[in-house]
Amino acid sequence: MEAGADKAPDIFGEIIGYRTWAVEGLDIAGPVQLVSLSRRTVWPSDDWLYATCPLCAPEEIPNPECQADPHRRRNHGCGIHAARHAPHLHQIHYNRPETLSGLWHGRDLEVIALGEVGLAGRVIQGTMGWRAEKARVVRLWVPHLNWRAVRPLERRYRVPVELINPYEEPRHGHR
Amino acid sequence: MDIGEPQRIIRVEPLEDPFHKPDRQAPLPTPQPMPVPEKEPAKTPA
Repeated sequence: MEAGADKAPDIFGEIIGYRTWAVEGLDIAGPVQLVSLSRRTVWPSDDWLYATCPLCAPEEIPNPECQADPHRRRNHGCGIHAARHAPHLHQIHYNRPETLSGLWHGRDLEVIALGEVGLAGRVIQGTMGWRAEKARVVRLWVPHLNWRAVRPLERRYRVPVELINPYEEPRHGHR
Repeated sequence: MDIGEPQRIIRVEPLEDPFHKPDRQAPLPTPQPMPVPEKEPAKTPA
């Protein structure tokens, strides 16, 4: 299964995956931010986000055998996670703030964004998604209710941001 | 997010760095005036 670091890349370009974030900073002075739901990682706007792990060596990240998940869930090890298809976000209810609040560290989750990420580096291909060494935001979709987040996110991340009906499951992506 | 069962590990290399910041180039050297050869005195025919 291994892909050696000294071998030629398997893919030139980026793999596109799909994620959901919390949007913070909308109502306060300061930049708006995309924040991961699980670890509250702030996604940078001017660089790749690099995966880290307290247990695995840097060259092993993402590690299919990683045991760092505090709940010891299968397939929840290190790496930046993304779904293979946008409909999968809907199937696991990652499209609804009201169902995501339980993940949001006991706080109400008001503003979310869904979107495409470009994945690169060492990447684990799973049956439903990816775990990547590094990732960047490529495109964002914001529920109509959170329309005020569109312009700040466009300015901050310099990617296309569109309004969507988050309850409508896309056939593929939101294009 | 559960990504399902791992199937394989691949290496993905972007064609270009989307965050490439142009290297700061060293300032161009100040052009020096080219030496102008001295004009040879006209030869007086013998």
